[in-house]
Order: sequence, then structure tokens, then C-alpha cells
Amino acid sequence: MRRNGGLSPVRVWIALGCVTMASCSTYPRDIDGTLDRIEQSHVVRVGLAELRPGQQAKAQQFIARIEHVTGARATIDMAPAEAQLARLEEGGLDLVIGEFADDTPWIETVAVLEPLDHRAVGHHQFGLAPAAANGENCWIGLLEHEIRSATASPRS
Amino acid sequence: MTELAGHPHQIREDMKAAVRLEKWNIFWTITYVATLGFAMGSSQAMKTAWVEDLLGLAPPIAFLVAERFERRGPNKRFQYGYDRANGLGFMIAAVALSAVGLYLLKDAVMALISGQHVTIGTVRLLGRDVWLGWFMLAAQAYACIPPYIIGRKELVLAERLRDKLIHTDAKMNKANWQTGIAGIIGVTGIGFGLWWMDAAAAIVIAASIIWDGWRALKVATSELTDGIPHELGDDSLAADAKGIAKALRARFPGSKILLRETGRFIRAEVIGAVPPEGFDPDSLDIEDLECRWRLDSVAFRPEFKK
Repeated sequence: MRRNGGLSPVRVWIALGCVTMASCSTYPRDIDGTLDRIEQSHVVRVGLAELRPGQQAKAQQFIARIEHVTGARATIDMAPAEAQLARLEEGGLDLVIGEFADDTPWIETVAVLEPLDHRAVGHHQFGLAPAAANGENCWIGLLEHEIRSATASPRS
Repeated sequence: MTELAGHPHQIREDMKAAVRLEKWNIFWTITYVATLGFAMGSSQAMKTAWVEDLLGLAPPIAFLVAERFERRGPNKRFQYGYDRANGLGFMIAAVALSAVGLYLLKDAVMALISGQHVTIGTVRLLGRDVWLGWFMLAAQAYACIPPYIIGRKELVLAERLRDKLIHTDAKMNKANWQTGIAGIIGVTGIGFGLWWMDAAAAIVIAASIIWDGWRALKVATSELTDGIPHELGDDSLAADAKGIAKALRARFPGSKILLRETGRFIRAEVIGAVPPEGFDPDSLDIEDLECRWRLDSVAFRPEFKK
């Protein structure tokens, strides 16, 4: 019987594993290079939605965390949430922080991350959540790490 | 003759092996469909692979159902028995294969046109944030292994049993592991920031699946409409059928030989000849007929009818 010397899932898997491991330090990368740009320009462009006073403080604390981790200065712009998310999708912002419903239709367009805080309004749940552009997986990984650290130890 | 109940004794052991293999096929398919379901997240490639793997259950289920019918003897309503149950199952498998290819192609083209950027986040595990892409890659790698092994075993059995349904299932399994690799390439590409790699790989694989599905559909349609016996995975006249036609022409010169396929069996009709006294098809000297059991019956029609 002829032996199959061509493509097999095991060979492809090993090859891909080698390539991926070889570049492990920068993996995953951002599709549009958000984190690289922040680290090079030392500027993180943040869009804040209109928030209640308690939420505003939490959002500011989170922004301070991001400034600390990235070594970048935040330029903060205030506007209604929908306008901020539209700018985020078009690449005009790196991060938006606002209060979003659990079932917001924007989750199809941008990556709405885990909430820093949440509250119930009637039958709906709202979360104070950071949002990033879809596909910026390295940047999103960093944000998720900071969200988890912030919610685990809110005072730090 | 298959008007009797049960499979011909020459293929009974292989049929039992095929039934066992298809049951294992269903079991392993359920395990990797569940694994992919847990890991798929928002990746389009993962969702597509999941749907494809789910559709991959159609051919083995069709085979097991058809096999049960095939074993039954004839009855008042089905006086020739249920040989064509396998052909019907083959048609279902061919439709499933084509549908998978078209679905995959549509998704991949839409993802490419819309420039879809896929987000793959992280999950906290034992105090560390782990990229979900690693779980997706592991799930896809696992999902490649059972269809690769089962598909290769199926090809051997399909050849011995002249079973187009199992052969199509082997193609479906090939499509499954190739889609798994497309998924791995896609997720790896996303990790490298190459959003288009996912869709590009899926388009190439989808084209190959559609081609296999189209060929299977042609053969399945031909079988259900009394077409000539085909080679497995091909629409050319089967070598077995060529041998039968040659032997019948030699035995009944000047007659016209018609052949059709009913499931895994071949039925022949000799037109313009009278059956000799005590004619037994098993006494025919047929060259190149490896599987004697394939020749189910030889009928005679002494007069040509315009």
C-alpha cells in the first residue's frame, strides 16, 4: 500500500506549533497594531461616555492603571456612548469606557469587555465596561488582565 | 440474490465492521463537536467548523439506518427488498457534503468582503490570563484526529463493500479534518494579526468540498434514476460492470446488455435473447469481477421493444 507522504493534520499541527512558539513573545498580535502604536507614541486615546459620578471615579482609576502599565499618557474625550463607539470602530480611539447593556447591539461591532462594575435597571443588566476595537487581541488581553486585577483589588 | 433477507455471506463480516466503525464515528464526532462548541468563542472559522462537524453526523446515521433496511427481506410493498436504501442514504450524504461546502464558502467570502476582524480574548485560569486562541487551537487539533483516522479506515471498507455511502462519509471526514486545519490556520493567522488568512484558507477548502459534493451528487442521482454502475467517487462505468457486460455479450451474442446499480448490487438485463434452460448467473465466466456477489440478477427480454 502506498504511504501518504503529503499533508496530514499531525504534520500541519506540528509545523504551526513551531512557528507559533517561535514568536511566542509577541503572540497574539493586534490586527491594526494598537498596543504597538500606544507604546511607541506614549499616548492612549480614551473616549469616556457620560457616566454617573461613582462610575466616573472607577473609570478614571482604570485609565490610571492603563497609563501605568503602558507607560503612556491618556488623552480623554467625553461624548455620548454611541458616538464614542463609532469612533472606536473607525480607529479614532483606542479605548472607550461607558455603561452598556448586556445585550447591546454594539457587541457585534466592537469588543465590549468584562465590566468594572454593574447594576440592574428593571430586567436589564448594565455594566461599566471598557470596549476596544475588534481584532486588537494583544491590547484586549492587556485590558482584560487589568479589568480582572481592578475588580479583584479595587483599591490598588 | 438480495430478494432474500440479510447481506450476502461474502460481505457480512465487512458490513459488521462498517457498522462498528460508523458507531465509533458518531461517538467521536459527538466528542469533538462538544469540544469545539465549548471553545469556539466568536471566531467565524471555529463556528463554521462546528457546523460542518455537526453535519458530518448525517452520513454515518444515514448508513446505519440504510444498513438496517438493507438487511430486511422483500415484502408486499417492496418486492425487490431494500437494496436502494443505501443509494438513498448516499444521496443524503452527498447533499450534506455539498451543503457544507456551500455554507463554508458563503461564510468565508462574506468574512473576506466585510474585512471582519475577529476578537479572541483571554480567560483567567489558575490565576493566569490565558489567550482563548490556545484552547481553540487545541480543540481544533483534537477535532482533526478522529475524522482523519476514521476516514482512512472507511476508504478500505468502502472499496471492499462497494459502498458509496461509506465512501462519501470518508470524503466528509476528509472535509472535516481539512476544515479543522483551515480553522487552525485561521486562528493562528488571527494571532499573527493576519485577519484575512482565516477566510482565505476556508475558501480553498470549501472549493474542494463543493467539488467532492458535486461529484457525489451526480453519482447518487444517476443511481436513483437507473444509471450505469459507477466506480467509487467517480462517474465512469465500474470495472465490475464492464466485466459483466463483456461476459453477457460473449454468452448471448447479438443481444443488447443493460446494466443498472441498485445500492451496492448490479442488475443486468439481456435484450433480444432467451434464457437457456436452467441458466444460473453464477455459472457465468466473468473476468475482472472481484466481487461476485455484486451481480444480483440477470433478467431476459426476448423481444426488442421500440
